[in-house]
Amino acid sequence: MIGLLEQILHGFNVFTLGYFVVLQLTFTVLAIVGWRAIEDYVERRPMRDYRAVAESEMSMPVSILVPAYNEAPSIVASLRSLLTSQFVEFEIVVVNDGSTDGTMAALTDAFGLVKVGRIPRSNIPTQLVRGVYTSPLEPHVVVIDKVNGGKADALNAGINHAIYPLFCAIDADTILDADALSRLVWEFQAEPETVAVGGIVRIVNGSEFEDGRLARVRTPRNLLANLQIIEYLRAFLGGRIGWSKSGMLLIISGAFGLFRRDVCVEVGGYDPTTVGEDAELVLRLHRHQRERQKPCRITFFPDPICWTECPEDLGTLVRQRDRWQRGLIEMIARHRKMLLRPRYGRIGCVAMPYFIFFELLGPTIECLGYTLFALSLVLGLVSLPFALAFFAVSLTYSLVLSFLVILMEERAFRRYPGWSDLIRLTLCAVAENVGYRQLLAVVRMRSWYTLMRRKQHWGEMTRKGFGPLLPGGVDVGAAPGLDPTADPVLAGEAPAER
Amino acid sequence: MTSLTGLIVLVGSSLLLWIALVGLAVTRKLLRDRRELRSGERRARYAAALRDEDSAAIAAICGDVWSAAAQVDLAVAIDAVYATLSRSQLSALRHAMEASELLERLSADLGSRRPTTRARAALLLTRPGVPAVVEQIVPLLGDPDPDVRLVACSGLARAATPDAAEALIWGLVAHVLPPERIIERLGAPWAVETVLVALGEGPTPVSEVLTGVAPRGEEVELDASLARALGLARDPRAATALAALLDRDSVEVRISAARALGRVGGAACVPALIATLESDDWPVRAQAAKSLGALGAADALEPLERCLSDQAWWVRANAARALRDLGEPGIEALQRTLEHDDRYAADRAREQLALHAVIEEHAAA
Repeated sequence: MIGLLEQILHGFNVFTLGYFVVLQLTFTVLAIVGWRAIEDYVERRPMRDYRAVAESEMSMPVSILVPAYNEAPSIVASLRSLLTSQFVEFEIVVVNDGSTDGTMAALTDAFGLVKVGRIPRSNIPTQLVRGVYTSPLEPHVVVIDKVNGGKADALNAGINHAIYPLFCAIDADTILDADALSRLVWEFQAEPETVAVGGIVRIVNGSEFEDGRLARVRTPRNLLANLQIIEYLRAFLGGRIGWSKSGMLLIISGAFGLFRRDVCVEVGGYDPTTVGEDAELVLRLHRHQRERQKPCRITFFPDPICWTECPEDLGTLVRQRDRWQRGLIEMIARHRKMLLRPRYGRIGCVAMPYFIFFELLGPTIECLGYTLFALSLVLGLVSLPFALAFFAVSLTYSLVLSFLVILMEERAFRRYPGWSDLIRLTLCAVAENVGYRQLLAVVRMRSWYTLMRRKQHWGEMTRKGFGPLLPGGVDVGAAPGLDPTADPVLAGEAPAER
Repeated sequence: MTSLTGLIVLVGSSLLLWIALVGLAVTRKLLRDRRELRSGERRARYAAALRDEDSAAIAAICGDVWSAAAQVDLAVAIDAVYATLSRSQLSALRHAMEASELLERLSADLGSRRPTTRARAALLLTRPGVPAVVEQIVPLLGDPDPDVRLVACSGLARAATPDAAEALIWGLVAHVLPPERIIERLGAPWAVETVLVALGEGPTPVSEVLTGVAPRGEEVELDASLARALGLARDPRAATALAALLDRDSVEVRISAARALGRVGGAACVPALIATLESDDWPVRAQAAKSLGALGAADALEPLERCLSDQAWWVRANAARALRDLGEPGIEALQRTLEHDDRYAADRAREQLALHAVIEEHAAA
C-alpha cells in the first residue's frame, strides 16, 4: 500500500515537473513575442499620427457603452471623465440596469435628461427597456433605463441602441486616457478586417485626479493593489500581446474593448447566461467568423489605457477572481466543440488546449502539486536540497518574467515614472510570486465548486469613486419622473424602413 | 555534500540573476530618463531656431541630425511650429537640409530595407511641406508597409500641390489605404480643383511615378469618396458639382453628396437639398434633412415640416432636429405639429420641444 502511494506521489511529482517546464516555456515564448511587439511599436509610434485620427471627421465614430448597476456614487464623475475624451465623434450610451440606489436620479440631475424616442438598430433580445433619454446639455450622452437583467443584458440593450459602427464596452468605474479611443480606432482603420481590439487595463488605486483625468499616476500604498498591478502587467504585457501577435487572443477585458457592432449583432451580442460574457463573446466571434470563412482579426493594443479600481480587500478580490474563473470555465465548456478541430485553426488547436490545461485545470494541478510535493518531502521521497533547488529555480524563473514586464513597461510606456514606484513594483514582483499567486490558485480551484452552486449576477465591489476629486456633486436622491410601467421605447412607433 | 554544493550554486546563481535584473531595470530607467531629457531639450532648441529663423542654427541642426531619435525630434519640432512658419522660413529649412546633406541621407533612407527607417525618412522629408519632395514620396504610396504608406499620404497632403492631389486620388483608386485615410488628407481647399477635375473627367491616368502603385483590393466608390473629400474641404467652389451628384443612381454617392452639401454651404446647396427630400430612398432623404438643419436653411422650413410625417423614422427624427436647429421659426413649426393628426409626427416634435425647453431653462439659469 505504501509502495503504491509512493509510486503515485513519484508519478505526480514528475507530472508536476513536466507541467511546470511546459508552462514556463509557454510564458517565455509569449514574453519574447510580446517584447518584440513592444519594440516594434515603440519604433513605429512617432510615425503614427494618432492626433489625426482623433480629429479627423473621417474617423470611425464610436458608441461607448457604459452598463451601470447601482453606480450612483461614481457614475456622473465617470461620465464627465469620458466626455473629455479627445475623439471627433462619439456617443456615451449609459445603460441603467434597474439600479435601486438612485443612479438614474443622479444622471437626470446632472445631465437634464429628456425622454425621447430612439429606434433600436438591432433586435438582440433584452429585458424590457423602460425608456431612452438624451441630454440636451451634453448631446453625446444617451441613457437607457431598463429592467434589471445583468451586465450582458445591459450591454446588449446598449448595442441595440448604439448608432455608430464601433462600440466600446467599458465598466462604469473606469477612466479612459484622453487619446485611448483614437489609438483603438487606429487599429480598425489600419486593418479593415479587425473585428475587435482590446486595450490594456491598469490599476488606478493611489493615483491623483484633476477634472476627471488622471493627473498623476502613483502606485498605491495598499499591498494587495500593488500585487495586482504586477499581476495585470504580467497578464497584459507578458501574455495578451503574445497571444494577440500569434492570432490567438481569446480574452478582451470587459473593462475596455472596442468591437465592430455589425459582427457582434450577427453573433447575437453578449450571452446573458454566463458570468464571463466578455471572453465568451470574443470566442464566439472567432467561431462565427471561422465557420463562415470570414476574416477575423481580434487583437490587443497595449497603449490605449483604461484605468480601473481594483479590490483592496481580500474578500472582494476572492469574489472577483472566483467570478472570472467561472466565466472562463463556462466559456470553454460552451465552445468545447472547437477543441482540436482544424477548422478553427490555431484557436481550436493551440489556444483552447492551453486554456483548458493551464487556465482551467492549472490551479487544481498547482494546488495538488504543492500538497503532494510537501507530502513527498515529509515521506522522504524528495530530498530537501532538491525541493529547495526546485523552489529557487521556479521562483527565479517567475521573477525573471515579472521583471521582464516591468522592463517592458519602462521601455514603452513609463506610466510609473517615479523611483519609489519602480522600487515598490520590484519588491511586489517578489511578493506576487510568493504567496499571492498561490492564494489565487486556491481561489480559482474553488471556482469549480462555486460554479455548481451560484447564479450569475453583477460583480459587486466597494467603490471609492473618482467623484470627490471632480467638479459637480452627485445627488443620489430618489429618481424623479420614472415610470416603471412605461411601455418599451418602440411602443406606438411605426416600423422604420430599414 | 555534492547536493549541498549544487544547492548553494543554484540559489546563488538565482540571487545573482535577480540582482542583475534589478540592476538592468535601474540602468534602463536612468538611460531612459536621460534620453527623454535630451529629447525634450533638442525639440525646444529646434523649435526656437525655426521660429527665430536663425539660419546658422538651422544649418547646424541639419548637420547634427544623424540619429533616429534626433530625426524624430526635428520632425516633431517642425510640426509644433509649422502653422507659424512662413513660406520663406520653410524654404530656408529645406535649403539648410540640402546644404547639410541631410536631404541626401534621407533620400537614401527611403530605399532602406527597414520599414521604420523608410517611414522616418519620409516623415522628416515631408515636414517642411515643400513641393519638391512629391516625386520622391509618391512611390511610397505603393510601399508594402502600411505605416510607410500612411506617412507618404500625410506627407503628400503637407506638400499640397496638384500633383500630390492626383497621387492621392490614384491612391483611392488603387486602394493603397483605407479610403477614409486618403479622403481626410484630400479634404482641403488646396485639393478642391484637382478633385473637381477628377469628378468630371475621372482620375488621372497612371503617371510614371505611380506605376508601382497597383490596385490592392476591391474597387472603391470613387465619386462618393471624392464627394466626401469636398465636404471636408468646406469650399463653396464645390457646391455645383456636389449638387449634380445628387442625381446619380448610386445611393452612396447621393448620401455622400448630401452630407457634403451640408458642410459646404452657399446658395446652390439649399434648393438641391430641398429637392432631395423627395428622393425615393429614405437614407438620402434623412441625410438631406440633416444637412438642411446644419445649414440653418430658412427656405427649408415647409419641406422639413412635411418630412415630419415621412414614412421613415429616421427622416422624421432628422427633420424634427433640423427644425429645432432653424431657431424660432422651426420651434413654431414644431409647436404647430403638436396638434397634427399624425401622432408619429407629433411625437417627434414633442421630443425636440422638450429638449429645447431644457436648453432654454439651463441658459436662463
